[in-house]
Formats: sequence, structure tokens, C-alpha cells
Amino acid sequence: MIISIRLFAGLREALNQSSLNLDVAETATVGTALAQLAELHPKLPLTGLAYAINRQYVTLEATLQPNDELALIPPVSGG
Amino acid sequence: MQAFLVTEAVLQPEPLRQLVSDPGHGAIVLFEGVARNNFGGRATAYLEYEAYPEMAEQQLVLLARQAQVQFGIGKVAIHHRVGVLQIGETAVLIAIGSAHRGAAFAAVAWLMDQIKVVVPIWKCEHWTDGSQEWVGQR
Repeated sequence: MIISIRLFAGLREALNQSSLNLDVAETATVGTALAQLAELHPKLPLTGLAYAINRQYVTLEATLQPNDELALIPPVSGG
Repeated sequence: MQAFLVTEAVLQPEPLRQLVSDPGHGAIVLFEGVARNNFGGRATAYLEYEAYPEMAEQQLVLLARQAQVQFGIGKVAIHHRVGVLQIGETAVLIAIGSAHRGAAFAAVAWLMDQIKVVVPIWKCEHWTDGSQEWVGQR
């Protein structure tokens, strides 16, 4: 199944793109999707992140559904 | 005007003030977070903010609801700017209407702290030496 991944700030700059699609297993979790992403893009800095599925914060164990939007959220610094 | 907004436009306090005003309120607190010319003592030329706007606006709504429950304040409006900001420009505006000032002062401090933890907005410091850095709080 296909999910979309949103990238921001340093992650966006590292890949020079703000989103990408990833073909993951039906049983995929945030953690397994990230592992897949790390294999595809070994230089992507994937530490210290928070995660959101469809704009809700989730943990690494959360399961993904087809067409979910998984956002990788680096340490925020608004204000 | 939306009460909770992430925008590239210059932030204006007056529309937020009107959004939160109410005849039962004895206080309106307006807070402006402003682009500063240094970060940890290192000289900043200008700032750039990026957001996950759809989620950031949702998170601002959630924080405002929590603040209303926790502090007993009235209406809340929060705007955050994204894009390039020059030193001295306003990055975030919070307006709170409240029956009494104490609750509004406490709530605005709490809201700013929470924004820096959970709202998906990022600040890039463009240093005066030409280099840049995304700074994070976590």
C-alpha cells in the first residue's frame, strides 16, 4: 500500500523535497516505514523526531493505513 | 478573520483584539513574539519560519481549548507567521480575553511554552556570516 510522507525543515532540505510516496507492507507501522525510508535514504537524519499520522501525533508503534499522511516532525521552534 | 491562523502575511494585532473582545471581559492580553537579532548570543541577519500549516492550526485550536479549561479564560486567537521575517517583525500573536487579568497573564505564558513544544512550526536562523541553521527546542 502507498502512504505519503511529509518532510519539513532540515529533513526537507536533506532530500530537497517536501513529500514523497512510500510503498509499505499492509502491516506497516511508523517504525517499519521509517526503517524502509532509512534504507532508501541513508543520509536522512531520522533521530529525535516526533511523528504524526493524518495530523495527529502518534508513536512508532502506530499502524498505517493506505493513503495515510505520515509527517516526520523535527524538534519544533515556533514562537 | 480566522482565530487560529498560520500565514505569510504581516501579523496585525487589531483584528485579534476584536476577535477576543467581549462585554464580560475585564482584560485583554496581547502577546507578540518578535524576531530577535541573536540566538544564544550569535548574530542573526533574519529568520525564516516553516510550518505544517494544516496540523499547526489544529494544534493551536487544541491548545486554546486546553487553556480555556485550565485557566478559565474567555476567547483566544493565535496567529503565527511563516516565511522570511526581518529583525523586529512579529512572528506570533496571541490574544486572550478574560474576565480577570491574572488568568489571562498565566494562560498566555503557558500557551507560548506549549507552542514551542507541540506546534509543528520551525525556525531557521540565518546568521550574519551567511550560514543557516534550523533550531529546535527538544
